[in-house]
Amino acid sequence: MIGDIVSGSENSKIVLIEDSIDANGRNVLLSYIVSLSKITEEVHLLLFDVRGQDTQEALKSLGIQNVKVHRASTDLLQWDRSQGIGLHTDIKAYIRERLSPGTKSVAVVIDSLSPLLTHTSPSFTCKTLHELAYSEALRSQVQQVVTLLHGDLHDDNSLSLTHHTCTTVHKMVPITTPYAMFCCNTIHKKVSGKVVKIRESFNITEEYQVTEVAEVKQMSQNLPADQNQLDPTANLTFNLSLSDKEKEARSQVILPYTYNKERQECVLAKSVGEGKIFYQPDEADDFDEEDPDDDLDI
Amino acid sequence: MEDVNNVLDIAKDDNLYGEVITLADSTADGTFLIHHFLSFFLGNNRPVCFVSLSQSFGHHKSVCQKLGVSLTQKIESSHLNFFDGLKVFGNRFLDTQPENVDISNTTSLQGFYKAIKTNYEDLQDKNKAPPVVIVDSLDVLLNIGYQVKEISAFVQYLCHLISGPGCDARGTLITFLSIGENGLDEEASLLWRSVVHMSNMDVLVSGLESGYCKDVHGKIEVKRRNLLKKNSQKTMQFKVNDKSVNFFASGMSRAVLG
Repeated sequence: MIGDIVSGSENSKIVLIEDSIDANGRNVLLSYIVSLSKITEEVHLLLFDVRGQDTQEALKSLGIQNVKVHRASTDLLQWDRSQGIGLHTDIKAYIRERLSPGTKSVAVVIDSLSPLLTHTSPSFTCKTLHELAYSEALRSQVQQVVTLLHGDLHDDNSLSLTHHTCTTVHKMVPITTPYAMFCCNTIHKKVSGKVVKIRESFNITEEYQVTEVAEVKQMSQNLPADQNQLDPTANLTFNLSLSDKEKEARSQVILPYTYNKERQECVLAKSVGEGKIFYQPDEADDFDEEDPDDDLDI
Repeated sequence: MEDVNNVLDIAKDDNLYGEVITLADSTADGTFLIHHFLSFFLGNNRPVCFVSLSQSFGHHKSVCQKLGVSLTQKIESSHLNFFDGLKVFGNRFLDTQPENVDISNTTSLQGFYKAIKTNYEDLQDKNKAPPVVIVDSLDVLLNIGYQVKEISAFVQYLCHLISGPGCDARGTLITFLSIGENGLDEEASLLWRSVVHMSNMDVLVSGLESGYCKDVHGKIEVKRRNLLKKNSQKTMQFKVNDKSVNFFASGMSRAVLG
């Protein structure tokens, strides 16, 4: 699933990569940038995060040309009173002014959304994301908006609001399998309206290609259901089941009052002046010892 | 203190240019790391801008004396700039600020950052080398009423200060904070996480889960975050002595084995 979304064969308008201090998501973000640089004319990368410089350096070493980097992190709150961008900047207008003329398809990547979400309101952040992806503000076709978010820095309310705005959420989780370097839970909302939830492990090559994607089954599904169920009849002091020999012995016991010629004659010969009861099953009678209630239709 | 370098995977003459290192402690005392880095960089003749928010100059001076570095000499030779945060923020504790003084210039974090920036550039000019900024400790800022988002913005500015465009070689930023017992102090933990997101390396010193022990003072976890590499992680136990720190693999203290 994640391989298809990164490569662009599965459509998704707004992608959110949520990471934490235990599971870094910047590698996945770089995979998206590398893939987007091939399928769109221009990628605009906005850096709000200090470690965005790692992203920038990685892109430089890959030699990708059509990624335009805008560093908003250096003077985030205008403490230095520089002319650069910060949180106060209108991102749409800023990018629009810096689009190369005649560009038809662009993608916007944000590394990371956390300073925006921390210093402005969640609704403003969601609105910004939505406008970048869907409005005509950029005056060209926005293919995709990809953003990184440090999930462990925000409350559940802001996170769920952001999740609702996005069409795909990759939540990075610490790896549980020894074969892969990364693992993430993906929630993807397809254009048809179907929602896919999946946990996958994968590797990322030095060219930032997502490879070896494998679904990670939840541990509880892997275990056979009855493995842990104890047999309640295992350690009883009495016997509940019968062996074949015992069954055979039982079948030979003749129950009292059962119709049997030998017994009838014997009893009739002994007693005088007393009534006797004998049970003689008729054809409709189901004489099955194993399940006496078998004929009941419950 | 060479053992500390081994644990942190730092060579003796490493410059750590451009590195952002976060030190934190909970339940055990991790301040030996601050003194280690202070004496390490001064010993390597790196200029240091030391921002002390929790201890006085006298305290650091006597500790560094034991480690063989004279802070007074270093100040005279302009290798060290001791920034006494206690004096800057003292008014905030006492609340004796006259109302007509423009607070934004003296005690806001923006003003504080500007003061550090001036110091930093001054050190850089005098020594022709990128300085190290050490902040001890960030949780004091929380205690005097700054919000987590303000402090994390402050740290973000410091991160960009050390990787500023003015100099080819980048400086180093080391921050220390105490995150309280078992991360119960939610604000301090949140601040710690947001600073860790900005750093290349983080070191967490914590007490033993089984409680205090005379021979094992706690455990130290060192994590490095790199793109594309598996994040290396190392956990050791330690005992702080008068002038050094002993490290050993978990459960392998001499006191336990002997």
